[in-house]
Formats: sequence, structure tokens, C-alpha cells
Amino acid sequence: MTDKLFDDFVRDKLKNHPSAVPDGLWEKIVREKDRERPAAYWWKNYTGLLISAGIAALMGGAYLFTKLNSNDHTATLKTSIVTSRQAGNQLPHDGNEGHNATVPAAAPVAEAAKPGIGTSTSSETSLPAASRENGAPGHQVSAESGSILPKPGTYVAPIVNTAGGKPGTTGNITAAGSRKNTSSLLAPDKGDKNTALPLLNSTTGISPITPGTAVPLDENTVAADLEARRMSLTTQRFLNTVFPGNGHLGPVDNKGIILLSDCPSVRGYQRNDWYLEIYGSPDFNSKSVSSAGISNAYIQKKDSSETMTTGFTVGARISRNLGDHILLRSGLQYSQLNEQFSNRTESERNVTTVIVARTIIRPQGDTTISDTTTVIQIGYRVRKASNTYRNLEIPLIAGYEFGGKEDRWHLAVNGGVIINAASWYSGETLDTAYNVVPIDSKGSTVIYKHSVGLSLYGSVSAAYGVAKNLEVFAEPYARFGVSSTKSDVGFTQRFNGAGLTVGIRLKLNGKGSGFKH
Amino acid sequence: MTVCLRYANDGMEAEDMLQDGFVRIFKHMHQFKFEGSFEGWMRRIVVNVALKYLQKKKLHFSEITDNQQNAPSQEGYAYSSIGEDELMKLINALPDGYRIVFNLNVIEGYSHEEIGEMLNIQASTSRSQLVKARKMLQQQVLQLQKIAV
Repeated sequence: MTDKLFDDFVRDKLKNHPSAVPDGLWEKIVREKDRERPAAYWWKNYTGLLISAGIAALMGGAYLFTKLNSNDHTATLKTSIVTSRQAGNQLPHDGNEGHNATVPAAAPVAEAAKPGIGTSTSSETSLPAASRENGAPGHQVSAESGSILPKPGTYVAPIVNTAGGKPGTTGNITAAGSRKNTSSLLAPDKGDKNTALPLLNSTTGISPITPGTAVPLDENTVAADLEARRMSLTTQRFLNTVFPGNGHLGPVDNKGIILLSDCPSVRGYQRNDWYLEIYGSPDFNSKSVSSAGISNAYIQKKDSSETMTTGFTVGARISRNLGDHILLRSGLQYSQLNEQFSNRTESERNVTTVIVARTIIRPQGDTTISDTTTVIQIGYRVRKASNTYRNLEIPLIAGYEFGGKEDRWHLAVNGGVIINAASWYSGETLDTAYNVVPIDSKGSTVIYKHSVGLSLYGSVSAAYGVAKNLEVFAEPYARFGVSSTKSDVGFTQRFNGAGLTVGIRLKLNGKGSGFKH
Repeated sequence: MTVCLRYANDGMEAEDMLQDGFVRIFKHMHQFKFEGSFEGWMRRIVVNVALKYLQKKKLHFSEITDNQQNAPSQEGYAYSSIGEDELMKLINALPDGYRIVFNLNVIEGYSHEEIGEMLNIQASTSRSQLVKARKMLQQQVLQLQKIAV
């Protein structure tokens, strides 16, 4: 017997030789299959939801991270001020006991008037030491600003505390930044409260005035003097000293203090705004159906029986500025595509049974005779139904925004993708035998497969600030379906659309857009 | 199950192979492209699972010393009395390397090049293993015949 014959012999014997399967093996296989199912099942059927959950978690995490960082920054700054204030009070002054003696009296006033960072005041809000010490009646406390204003007709030169650590003065602010620099910028403390302080004179041309000396001046002169001091170059130098090495300074309030919410970052001043956008839009969609193994006649028949009507989209999304012009948006939206199904079937027969009752009048008595007749109507029948395709979607959009932070109008060009996380549908359609069948996704007849789809999105938007934290916007858009909805009967359909989104945009952080009125 | 039994060393191992093979079949069902027979596709998966099992056990293709130069020639009719179960036992008694190459080539129909790729061995090694496996199997069949007679 040759090798080939031997091989054939063995193959014939064993190729299809059955062996008994041990008891319980199939149960084991099913158990093992189900045990491996969860991850794969979730990934296969809920990919969209998993992606949306992931994106939501990322967005939430990023938002919380930003908020926490922002809070930490504020807290640190406040703490440093308090600490330096305490340290300042304990610092021995170089022989000027009288000057130090005014500190405890001044501190509560300034703190009560403006807590937190507000206690750090610019030069004009500092307490004139001599006046406080002497209990001069020429001052009153302004509850609104925390500063002590001179009585009309008198003007008292302000003192900028330089080394005494008086609370609520520039010395406290520089403790968080650079105390030395501030001292060097301002007049050296000679330890004599009566020494004339050449505070701002070098650049503003304002003549030195002896502190504590009441000088009769008219109100206009005083106001002009104060304004000149506020806007003077020395003040700017002071602010630069607070944030050394940073040429980008945020806006200051009316006392020349940098607003905390607008503190510049190490990369310079940048927008870091979060918005919540709530919007809705009418959608005008079109549908393209293509064959995936089914006849073109069916595609044509289906196409002619279905007409897209106006749909709508509503949703909410979070948007965030990256720098001054880049805007990122993501959220969740519900989109409903409406379709009118209308199918005309010819040679429809409608059979109607007609009963005709006749009364025959006879002398013996009337007799009623009933005749039953059937009437057959031959014609066509039009069957109509409203189909809806509902989608839960995640927009991922990036935009470039024109216009500054202070502008009322913002124009933006946007582009991105819309991920279809989940979809369901209802209505009627034709099957391959041209019978009308339901397409209820919850029913037993499933025509369309659930699938995670993707659309490309492009839009231009215009936003108008109506209040400090509120903008209204309009956004004409177009979207193009990249992926198709597959069906079980051998065709795919893809939706494209356009519409006009209108909505409101709420600013979530900061103190409003601060647009120019 | 027969496929697994031919590759496994015992019934327990064959059962594990079959279980893993079917789990994999269910898992990758959607990858079947309807281009060949479904049975062939299933068989291929089960064979691959079986080979993975054996490769975990560090399969050695050792040379078995053969004292007999040539196997005695046996006429075809002499084999006809051997049943499938006996033949299975004889195949299972072969050394691992012989058994696997013999199964893959003779019963599954893989070429030596394909076997070389699957087992990460040379095609010539596969050929020599097959020759020796066949020879050993023929001798054992002959022994069985003698006992029967």
C-alpha cells in the first residue's frame, strides 16, 4: 500500500468521524460566551453612549479643573495678603512710633469698608496718618469706597505706607509680589510723618505736599489731582511691580486695582470664558437612498413614496474660549427628522354590501322585502403615514470668533462633526415585495439597523450681547451625513440637512462680557 | 470533538479546546464572509485553537530513533478491518510533533509550507515528521493486525 493510499485510508476514516460530546459542554460554552459578553456587548451596541459619557466626563472634568484652579488662585492671593498684613503689623518700624500707632485704628475701617482684595487700596485711599493721629475732624469714611474723603474745601495729602506694614495699603499687596520693589518705587520712609513725600511728582508734575497739612483748595483742583494720580505712570509702574515681568495687565477697577477675574496668566491676558448655549432650530433635510444589493426599481419606488418634511433640533452645549478667538463647543442635542410616507396602490377593490329594503303595498297588507347587493369599487388607494427618525447626538465643534471681548457683536465661523449616539424611528415603509410595513424600532419588524453615524457640520454664527452675561445668537448651518443608516432589506440611506439655529448663550464664569455700551 | 481529540493529549484537554473554539466562533461569527463552507471555517478556528494550546506546552519536534529501516509492506485489504476508534487511539499514541503534522497534512489537508508557517518550523521539518509519523503509524497498524490474527 502506497503512502497516498494509506493517507487516503486514514482521512476517509477520520475526517468525518463523530465523537460524543461530553455532557454539559454546551452549557459551559454558553456560560463562557455570556461571561465575555458585557464589554463586547456594550461596545457593540452602545458605542455612542459610551463616547458621549466619555466626552461629558471630560468636559465636566475640564470645567471643574478650571474652576478649582481659579478658586485656588484667588484663595492663595487673599491668604498672602492677610499673612503679610499680620507680618507687617509685627514689623518693627524704624523709630516712627507715632506712625505705627495709627495702624490699629485704620485697619478696621478699611477692612469693614471693602473686604478681601478690596482692602488693598491705591494711594488716595490710604489714611493720612497725621489726621488720624490727631483725630482730625476733616475726614469722613465713605462706606461705598472704603476711602476717607476730605471735607470740601480742604485737601490732605495722602500717605503711601512703605515700610510700616499698614493694612490695606500698597505695602500689603507687594508682600504677595515684591515688597522691596514697591518701596523703591515710592518715597523712602524717613520715619518722619511730617516729611514731605514726593509721591508722584517725578512724572506727573504734581507738587509735593506735606501730609497732614490741610491746604485749602477748590474741589475741581482736588478731583483733577486725584484723577491725575490715578492715571499716572507711577501707578502703572506700581502695577507692573505687582506682576513683575508681565507686560499684559488686566483691566483695573476705579481704584486702579486689577480685577481678580481678569488676572492675566503667565502667557499674557487671554480669554478663558465658559458659556452654556441653549438652542433650537428648524431643519430642512434631504435623503439619499442607495442600493446595497437590492434592485433599482425598489429604490425608485421607495424614493418616490417618501418625502422629507421640516424637522427640528434642540439641545444644549458648553462652549469655551481658547485664547481670544478659538471657541470649542460640545454638548447634547436631540434631532428629529420628519418624513411623509405616501404610497399609492392601483387596482384596489373595495367591496361594499348594500341592503335595499322595499315595501310592496298590497290590499292584504304591506310587505317589506330586503335585497342584499354588493357593490365593488375599483380604484387606487393612497396610504399615508408620518415617519420620524429621532436621534441623540453629540456635536463637537470648533470655531474662530471675530470680535473682542468687549464687543457686543461676535461673528464666528464654525466646523466640526456631529456624532449620532443613539437613534430610533417609527412610521411605515415599503418592503422588498412593495408591501407597507411598519418601521417601529421597538416593534418586531426592524428595517433599519441602529448604528453610530457621523455628520460633518459647518456654520457661521452671529451673537449679540443683550446683558452682561447673556447673548443671543443665530447660526445658519449645513450638515452632511458621512455614514449611512444601513437597513436589513438591502439599502442604505443618508441624511443631509441645513437650518437656522437660534439660541441664548449664558456666560458661566467671570463678571460678564463687559461689552461697550 | 473528533478534531480536538486528534490534537489533544487527553479528553479533558480536548474539551477545553472545543469550548474555547466555540466561544471564538460565536465571537467572530460576523467575520465569516460566506466565501467558503461554514464547516470549514469552524474547523479551521478549532484547529487554530488546538495548535495554540499545544504551543503553550512548548511543542518539541524531536527525532525518534527508528530501528526498522522500512515498514513492512501491507496490502490495502489488511487495513480495512481497523475501526475508527482504534485508528484514533493509534494516532493519539504518536509523539506530539508527529501527531500534529500528520493531522494537519493528511486529515486537514494543509501543505507543508502552510504547516511550517502555522507551527513556526521549516517545511522540510514538517515533511520529515510526516514521513516518520506515517511510518510509525503503519507499524502500529501492522502490530494491531498481528494481534488480531
